[in-house]
Amino acid sequence: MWLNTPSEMMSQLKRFIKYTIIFYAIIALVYWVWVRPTHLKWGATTAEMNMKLPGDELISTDRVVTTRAINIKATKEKVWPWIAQTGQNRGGFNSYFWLENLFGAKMVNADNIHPEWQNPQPGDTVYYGKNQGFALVSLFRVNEYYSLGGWTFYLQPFDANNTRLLVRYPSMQVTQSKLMTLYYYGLFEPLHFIMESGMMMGIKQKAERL
Amino acid sequence: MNKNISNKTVAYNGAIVAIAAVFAYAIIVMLYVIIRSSATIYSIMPKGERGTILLTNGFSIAYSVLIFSLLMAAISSLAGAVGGVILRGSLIYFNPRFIFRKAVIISCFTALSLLILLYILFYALLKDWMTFDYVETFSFWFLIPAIIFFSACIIGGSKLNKTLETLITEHNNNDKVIINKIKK
Repeated sequence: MWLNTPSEMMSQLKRFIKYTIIFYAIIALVYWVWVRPTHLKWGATTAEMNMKLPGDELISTDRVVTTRAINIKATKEKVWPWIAQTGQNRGGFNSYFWLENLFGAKMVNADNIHPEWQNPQPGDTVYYGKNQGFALVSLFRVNEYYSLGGWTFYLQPFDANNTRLLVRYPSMQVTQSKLMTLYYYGLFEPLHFIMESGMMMGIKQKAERL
Repeated sequence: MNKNISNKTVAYNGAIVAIAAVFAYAIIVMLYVIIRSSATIYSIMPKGERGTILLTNGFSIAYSVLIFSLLMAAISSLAGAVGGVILRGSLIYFNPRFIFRKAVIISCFTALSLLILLYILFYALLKDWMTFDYVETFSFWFLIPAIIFFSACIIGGSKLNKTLETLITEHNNNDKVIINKIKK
Protein backbone atom coordinates (compact mmCIF):
# COMPACT_ATOMS: atom_id res chain seq x y z
CA MET A 1 0.00 0.00 0.00
CA TRP A 2 2.80 2.46 0.90
CA LEU A 3 4.42 1.90 -2.50
CA ASN A 4 1.28 3.17 -4.25
CA THR A 5 0.63 6.75 -5.21
CA PRO A 6 -1.16 8.90 -2.59
CA SER A 7 -4.46 8.80 -4.50
CA GLU A 8 -4.29 4.99 -4.89
CA MET A 9 -3.61 4.63 -1.16
CA MET A 10 -6.60 6.82 -0.29
CA SER A 11 -8.90 4.78 -2.56
CA GLN A 12 -7.66 1.55 -0.95
CA LEU A 13 -8.33 2.95 2.52
CA LYS A 14 -11.83 4.07 1.51
CA ARG A 15 -12.50 0.59 0.10
CA PHE A 16 -11.26 -0.98 3.33
CA ILE A 17 -13.58 1.28 5.38
CA LYS A 18 -16.52 0.40 3.10
CA TYR A 19 -15.95 -3.38 3.44
CA THR A 20 -15.46 -3.07 7.21
CA ILE A 21 -18.81 -1.27 7.50
CA ILE A 22 -20.49 -4.02 5.44
CA PHE A 23 -18.83 -6.62 7.71
CA TYR A 24 -20.03 -4.71 10.79
CA ALA A 25 -23.57 -4.54 9.41
CA ILE A 26 -23.60 -8.35 8.97
CA ILE A 27 -22.32 -8.86 12.54
CA ALA A 28 -24.97 -6.46 13.93
CA LEU A 29 -27.73 -8.25 12.00
CA VAL A 30 -26.68 -11.72 13.20
CA TYR A 31 -26.29 -10.38 16.73
CA TRP A 32 -29.80 -8.90 16.90
CA VAL A 33 -31.58 -11.69 15.05
CA TRP A 34 -29.97 -14.74 16.66
CA VAL A 35 -27.23 -14.06 19.19
CA ARG A 36 -29.01 -11.70 21.60
CA PRO A 37 -32.18 -13.80 21.98
CA THR A 38 -29.91 -16.82 22.59
CA HIS A 39 -27.51 -15.25 25.09
CA LEU A 40 -30.29 -13.74 27.23
CA LYS A 41 -31.22 -17.31 28.23
CA TRP A 42 -28.01 -19.21 27.46
CA GLY A 43 -28.26 -22.79 28.70
CA ALA A 44 -31.53 -22.22 30.59
CA THR A 45 -34.80 -24.02 29.97
CA THR A 46 -38.15 -22.20 29.81
CA ALA A 47 -39.02 -23.62 33.23
CA GLU A 48 -35.76 -22.28 34.69
CA MET A 49 -36.37 -18.85 33.17
CA ASN A 50 -39.79 -18.67 34.78
CA MET A 51 -38.64 -20.21 38.06
CA LYS A 52 -38.79 -18.01 41.12
CA LEU A 53 -35.34 -17.58 42.67
CA PRO A 54 -34.23 -16.05 45.97
CA GLY A 55 -33.42 -12.41 45.30
CA ASP A 56 -36.17 -11.94 42.70
CA GLU A 57 -37.96 -9.68 45.15
CA LEU A 58 -35.02 -7.25 44.81
CA ILE A 59 -35.54 -6.85 41.05
CA SER A 60 -37.70 -3.94 39.90
CA THR A 61 -40.10 -4.50 37.00
CA ASP A 62 -38.30 -2.15 34.58
CA ARG A 63 -35.19 -4.32 34.31
CA VAL A 64 -34.11 -6.63 31.47
CA VAL A 65 -33.68 -9.90 33.34
CA THR A 66 -31.44 -12.67 32.02
CA THR A 67 -31.34 -16.25 33.26
CA ARG A 68 -28.44 -18.48 32.27
CA ALA A 69 -27.56 -22.01 33.30
CA ILE A 70 -24.72 -24.50 33.10
CA ASN A 71 -24.21 -28.15 34.12
CA ILE A 72 -21.37 -28.84 36.51
CA LYS A 73 -20.06 -32.36 37.16
CA ALA A 74 -19.60 -31.77 40.87
CA THR A 75 -21.72 -31.61 44.00
CA LYS A 76 -23.07 -28.23 45.08
CA GLU A 77 -20.70 -28.32 48.08
CA LYS A 78 -17.80 -28.27 45.63
CA VAL A 79 -19.29 -25.44 43.58
CA TRP A 80 -20.28 -23.18 46.49
CA PRO A 81 -16.77 -22.14 47.72
CA TRP A 82 -15.95 -20.56 44.34
CA ILE A 83 -19.17 -18.53 44.44
CA ALA A 84 -18.70 -17.52 48.07
CA GLN A 85 -15.32 -15.91 47.34
CA THR A 86 -16.58 -13.82 44.40
CA GLY A 87 -15.26 -10.28 44.04
CA GLN A 88 -12.21 -8.31 42.96
CA ASN A 89 -11.42 -7.80 46.65
CA ARG A 90 -11.65 -11.57 47.18
CA GLY A 91 -11.04 -14.49 44.83
CA GLY A 92 -11.91 -12.73 41.56
CA PHE A 93 -14.81 -13.52 39.24
CA ASN A 94 -13.38 -16.69 37.68
CA SER A 95 -13.93 -15.12 34.28
CA TYR A 96 -11.55 -13.77 31.62
CA PHE A 97 -9.26 -11.85 33.98
CA TRP A 98 -7.07 -10.67 31.08
CA LEU A 99 -10.11 -9.01 29.53
CA GLU A 100 -11.14 -7.44 32.87
CA ASN A 101 -7.61 -6.13 33.32
CA LEU A 102 -7.74 -4.37 29.95
CA PHE A 103 -10.18 -2.03 31.67
CA GLY A 104 -8.06 -1.55 34.75
CA ALA A 105 -9.95 -3.96 37.01
CA LYS A 106 -6.70 -5.33 38.50
CA MET A 107 -8.34 -8.73 38.77
CA VAL A 108 -6.65 -11.83 40.10
CA ASN A 109 -8.61 -15.09 40.01
CA ALA A 110 -7.78 -17.34 42.96
CA ASP A 111 -6.80 -20.88 42.06
CA ASN A 112 -7.51 -22.14 45.56
CA ILE A 113 -10.32 -21.92 48.07
CA HIS A 114 -9.57 -19.27 50.68
CA PRO A 115 -11.15 -20.05 54.08
CA GLU A 116 -11.19 -16.34 55.03
CA TRP A 117 -13.62 -15.60 52.17
CA GLN A 118 -15.96 -18.51 52.81
CA ASN A 119 -18.37 -16.73 55.13
CA PRO A 120 -19.92 -13.83 53.24
CA GLN A 121 -22.34 -11.74 55.26
CA PRO A 122 -25.27 -9.62 54.08
CA GLY A 123 -23.93 -6.10 53.55
CA ASP A 124 -20.41 -7.24 52.58
CA THR A 125 -18.94 -5.19 49.74
CA VAL A 126 -18.06 -7.02 46.55
CA TYR A 127 -15.99 -4.94 44.13
CA TYR A 128 -16.25 -5.43 40.36
CA GLY A 129 -12.79 -3.95 39.85
CA LYS A 130 -10.15 -1.92 41.66
CA ASN A 131 -11.67 1.50 42.46
CA GLN A 132 -14.66 0.59 40.27
CA GLY A 133 -18.29 -0.29 40.96
CA PHE A 134 -19.40 -2.54 43.74
CA ALA A 135 -22.43 -4.45 45.02
CA LEU A 136 -23.47 -5.55 48.47
CA VAL A 137 -24.20 -9.14 49.41
CA SER A 138 -27.99 -9.14 49.79
CA LEU A 139 -28.72 -12.68 50.83
CA PHE A 140 -27.15 -16.11 50.77
CA ARG A 141 -27.57 -19.62 52.03
CA VAL A 142 -24.45 -21.78 52.13
CA ASN A 143 -24.35 -24.36 49.31
CA GLU A 144 -27.63 -23.03 47.90
CA TYR A 145 -27.69 -19.42 46.75
CA TYR A 146 -25.85 -16.13 46.81
CA SER A 147 -27.32 -12.82 45.71
CA LEU A 148 -25.81 -9.40 45.01
CA GLY A 149 -28.83 -7.11 44.74
CA GLY A 150 -30.78 -9.57 42.61
CA TRP A 151 -27.76 -10.94 40.71
CA THR A 152 -28.36 -14.42 42.00
CA PHE A 153 -26.29 -17.59 41.79
CA TYR A 154 -28.50 -20.56 42.50
CA LEU A 155 -27.28 -24.13 42.91
CA GLN A 156 -29.67 -26.92 42.02
CA PRO A 157 -28.47 -30.54 42.32
CA PHE A 158 -29.95 -32.77 39.66
CA ASP A 159 -28.37 -36.03 40.83
CA ALA A 160 -25.85 -37.19 43.43
CA ASN A 161 -22.80 -35.84 41.56
CA ASN A 162 -24.09 -33.12 39.26
CA THR A 163 -25.24 -29.57 39.89
CA ARG A 164 -27.03 -27.03 37.79
CA LEU A 165 -25.80 -23.47 38.29
CA LEU A 166 -28.50 -20.89 37.50
CA VAL A 167 -27.51 -17.25 37.25
CA ARG A 168 -30.14 -14.54 37.13
CA TYR A 169 -29.07 -10.98 36.37
CA PRO A 170 -31.22 -7.86 36.46
CA SER A 171 -29.57 -5.53 33.98
CA MET A 172 -29.63 -1.77 34.32
CA GLN A 173 -32.82 0.20 33.90
CA VAL A 174 -33.50 0.78 30.22
CA THR A 175 -35.76 3.81 30.62
CA GLN A 176 -32.83 6.22 30.79
CA SER A 177 -31.41 8.61 28.19
CA LYS A 178 -30.71 7.63 24.56
CA LEU A 179 -26.97 7.67 25.27
CA MET A 180 -27.43 5.23 28.15
CA THR A 181 -29.66 3.05 25.99
CA LEU A 182 -26.92 2.96 23.31
CA TYR A 183 -24.34 2.13 25.98
CA TYR A 184 -26.56 -0.58 27.44
CA TYR A 185 -27.55 -2.37 24.20
CA GLY A 186 -24.30 -1.65 22.36
CA LEU A 187 -21.71 -2.40 24.99
CA PHE A 188 -22.93 -3.40 28.42
CA GLU A 189 -25.29 -6.21 27.49
CA PRO A 190 -22.97 -8.17 25.14
CA LEU A 191 -19.95 -7.55 27.40
CA HIS A 192 -21.88 -8.70 30.45
CA PHE A 193 -22.85 -11.89 28.66
CA ILE A 194 -19.22 -12.56 27.69
CA MET A 195 -18.02 -12.04 31.26
CA GLU A 196 -20.90 -13.82 33.00
CA SER A 197 -20.73 -16.89 30.77
CA GLY A 198 -16.96 -16.84 31.26
CA MET A 199 -17.54 -16.73 35.01
CA MET A 200 -19.97 -19.66 34.90
CA MET A 201 -17.51 -21.71 32.87
CA GLY A 202 -14.67 -20.70 35.20
CA ILE A 203 -16.66 -21.90 38.23
CA LYS A 204 -17.48 -25.13 36.39
CA GLN A 205 -13.81 -25.72 35.56
CA LYS A 206 -12.64 -25.12 39.12
CA ALA A 207 -15.43 -27.10 40.82
CA GLU A 208 -14.91 -30.09 38.54
CA ARG A 209 -11.17 -30.01 39.28
CA LEU A 210 -11.70 -30.36 43.07
CA MET B 1 -0.07 24.93 -4.71
CA ASN B 2 -2.08 25.82 -1.64
CA LYS B 3 -5.24 26.03 -3.71
CA ASN B 4 -4.72 22.51 -5.08
CA ILE B 5 -4.33 20.72 -1.75
CA SER B 6 -6.31 22.63 0.81
CA ASN B 7 -6.40 22.14 4.56
CA LYS B 8 -9.91 20.75 4.09
CA THR B 9 -8.65 18.01 1.75
CA VAL B 10 -5.76 17.16 4.06
CA ALA B 11 -8.09 17.07 7.09
CA TYR B 12 -10.48 14.77 5.19
CA ASN B 13 -7.66 12.43 4.16
CA GLY B 14 -6.27 12.47 7.71
CA ALA B 15 -9.68 11.49 9.04
CA ILE B 16 -9.91 8.62 6.49
CA VAL B 17 -6.45 7.32 7.51
CA ALA B 18 -7.44 7.50 11.22
CA ILE B 19 -10.75 5.70 10.68
CA ALA B 20 -9.05 2.96 8.63
CA ALA B 21 -6.39 2.58 11.34
CA VAL B 22 -9.05 2.26 14.09
CA PHE B 23 -10.96 -0.33 12.07
CA ALA B 24 -7.80 -2.31 11.35
CA TYR B 25 -6.88 -2.31 15.03
CA ALA B 26 -10.46 -3.22 16.00
CA ILE B 27 -10.36 -6.27 13.73
CA ILE B 28 -7.05 -7.38 15.25
CA VAL B 29 -8.46 -6.94 18.81
CA MET B 30 -11.67 -8.72 17.82
CA LEU B 31 -9.74 -11.73 16.48
CA TYR B 32 -7.42 -11.83 19.50
CA VAL B 33 -10.26 -11.77 22.05
CA ILE B 34 -12.37 -14.26 20.09
CA ILE B 35 -9.48 -16.71 19.65
CA ARG B 36 -8.28 -16.47 23.25
CA SER B 37 -11.72 -16.80 24.85
CA SER B 38 -12.73 -19.54 22.40
CA ALA B 39 -9.66 -21.56 23.41
CA THR B 40 -10.80 -21.32 27.07
CA ILE B 41 -14.38 -22.29 26.18
CA TYR B 42 -13.13 -25.20 24.08
CA SER B 43 -11.09 -26.54 26.98
CA ILE B 44 -13.97 -26.32 29.50
CA MET B 45 -17.21 -27.14 27.70
CA PRO B 46 -18.11 -30.71 26.70
CA LYS B 47 -18.38 -31.50 22.99
CA GLY B 48 -22.16 -31.28 22.65
CA GLU B 49 -22.42 -27.91 24.46
CA ARG B 50 -19.62 -26.02 22.73
CA GLY B 51 -21.25 -24.85 19.50
CA THR B 52 -23.79 -22.36 20.85
CA ILE B 53 -21.48 -20.74 23.38
CA LEU B 54 -18.62 -20.45 20.88
CA LEU B 55 -20.90 -18.70 18.37
CA THR B 56 -22.75 -16.46 20.85
CA ASN B 57 -19.48 -15.53 22.56
CA GLY B 58 -17.76 -14.79 19.23
CA PHE B 59 -20.56 -12.64 17.86
CA SER B 60 -21.02 -10.80 21.18
CA ILE B 61 -17.32 -9.91 21.17
CA ALA B 62 -17.48 -8.83 17.53
CA TYR B 63 -20.60 -6.74 18.18
CA SER B 64 -19.21 -4.93 21.24
CA VAL B 65 -15.88 -4.31 19.49
CA LEU B 66 -17.70 -2.88 16.47
CA ILE B 67 -19.71 -0.46 18.63
CA PHE B 68 -16.57 0.56 20.51
CA SER B 69 -14.61 0.99 17.27
CA LEU B 70 -17.33 3.17 15.74
CA LEU B 71 -17.13 5.47 18.76
CA MET B 72 -13.33 5.45 18.63
CA ALA B 73 -13.38 6.08 14.86
CA ALA B 74 -15.49 9.20 15.42
CA ILE B 75 -13.01 10.52 18.00
CA SER B 76 -9.91 9.41 16.06
CA SER B 77 -11.14 11.02 12.84
CA LEU B 78 -10.81 14.37 14.61
CA ALA B 79 -7.27 13.51 15.73
CA GLY B 80 -6.49 12.37 12.16
CA ALA B 81 -7.88 15.57 10.66
CA VAL B 82 -5.91 17.77 13.09
CA GLY B 83 -2.77 15.62 12.56
CA GLY B 84 -3.11 15.98 8.78
CA VAL B 85 -3.39 19.76 8.94
CA ILE B 86 -0.41 20.00 11.33
CA LEU B 87 1.64 17.71 9.06
CA ARG B 88 0.78 19.80 5.98
CA GLY B 89 1.76 23.02 7.75
CA SER B 90 4.99 21.49 9.09
CA LEU B 91 5.99 20.06 5.71
CA ILE B 92 5.39 23.35 3.88
CA TYR B 93 7.14 25.39 6.54
CA PHE B 94 10.10 23.16 7.47
CA ASN B 95 10.59 21.25 4.22
CA PRO B 96 9.98 23.68 1.35
CA ARG B 97 12.00 21.52 -1.09
CA PHE B 98 10.02 18.42 -0.04
CA ILE B 99 13.00 16.14 0.63
CA PHE B 100 11.77 12.65 1.48
CA ARG B 101 14.10 11.98 4.44
CA LYS B 102 13.29 15.32 6.00
CA ALA B 103 9.57 14.64 5.54
CA VAL B 104 9.90 11.35 7.47
CA ILE B 105 11.72 13.11 10.32
CA ILE B 106 9.03 15.84 10.45
CA SER B 107 6.30 13.16 10.44
CA CYS B 108 8.03 11.31 13.30
CA PHE B 109 8.31 14.48 15.32
CA THR B 110 4.66 15.42 14.67
CA ALA B 111 3.50 11.88 15.59
CA LEU B 112 5.54 11.91 18.79
CA SER B 113 4.25 15.35 19.84
CA LEU B 114 0.62 14.34 19.19
CA LEU B 115 1.11 11.03 21.02
CA ILE B 116 2.47 12.77 24.10
CA LEU B 117 -0.46 15.20 23.97
CA LEU B 118 -3.00 12.37 23.61
CA TYR B 119 -1.33 10.40 26.42
CA ILE B 120 -1.54 13.40 28.79
CA LEU B 121 -5.20 13.90 27.80
CA PHE B 122 -6.09 10.23 28.40
CA TYR B 123 -4.20 10.20 31.68
CA ALA B 124 -6.07 13.30 32.86
CA LEU B 125 -9.39 11.64 31.98
CA LEU B 126 -8.73 8.10 33.17
CA LYS B 127 -6.12 8.43 35.93
CA ASP B 128 -6.22 5.21 37.99
CA TRP B 129 -8.09 3.31 35.28
CA MET B 130 -5.02 3.67 33.11
CA THR B 131 -2.92 0.86 34.47
CA PHE B 132 0.21 -0.58 32.92
CA ASP B 133 0.49 -3.37 35.47
CA TYR B 134 -0.25 -5.99 32.85
CA VAL B 135 1.36 -6.59 29.46
CA GLU B 136 -2.07 -6.81 27.81
CA THR B 137 -3.22 -3.47 29.23
CA PHE B 138 -0.04 -1.72 28.20
CA SER B 139 -0.14 -3.22 24.71
CA PHE B 140 -3.89 -2.68 24.21
CA TRP B 141 -4.16 0.94 25.31
CA PHE B 142 -0.73 2.32 24.54
CA LEU B 143 1.86 0.29 22.65
CA ILE B 144 -0.15 -1.00 19.66
CA PRO B 145 -2.23 2.20 19.14
CA ALA B 146 1.02 4.18 19.39
CA ILE B 147 2.71 1.98 16.76
CA ILE B 148 -0.34 2.29 14.46
CA PHE B 149 -0.55 6.07 14.99
CA PHE B 150 3.19 6.45 14.41
CA SER B 151 3.10 4.35 11.23
CA ALA B 152 0.01 6.17 9.92
CA CYS B 153 1.70 9.52 10.56
CA ILE B 154 4.92 8.52 8.78
CA ILE B 155 3.16 6.90 5.80
CA GLY B 156 0.61 9.73 5.61
CA GLY B 157 3.34 12.36 5.98
CA SER B 158 5.54 10.90 3.25
CA LYS B 159 2.51 10.56 0.91
CA LEU B 160 1.50 14.14 1.63
CA ASN B 161 5.08 15.23 0.96
CA LYS B 162 4.99 13.38 -2.38
CA THR B 163 1.69 15.08 -3.29
CA LEU B 164 3.02 18.51 -2.35
CA GLU B 165 6.23 17.88 -4.31
CA THR B 166 4.26 16.79 -7.41
CA LEU B 167 1.95 19.78 -7.18
CA ILE B 168 4.77 22.29 -6.80
CA THR B 169 6.71 20.69 -9.67
CA GLU B 170 3.59 20.93 -11.88
CA HIS B 171 3.10 24.48 -10.69
CA ASN B 172 6.72 25.40 -11.53
CA ASN B 173 6.51 23.67 -14.93
CA ASN B 174 3.34 25.59 -15.74
CA ASP B 175 5.10 28.79 -14.75
CA LYS B 176 8.01 27.90 -17.06
CA VAL B 177 5.59 27.18 -19.94
CA ILE B 178 3.91 30.54 -19.36
CA ILE B 179 7.29 32.33 -19.13
CA ASN B 180 8.48 30.59 -22.32
CA LYS B 181 5.24 31.59 -24.12
CA ILE B 182 5.72 35.19 -23.01
CA LYS B 183 9.38 35.09 -24.13
CA LYS B 184 8.38 33.77 -27.56
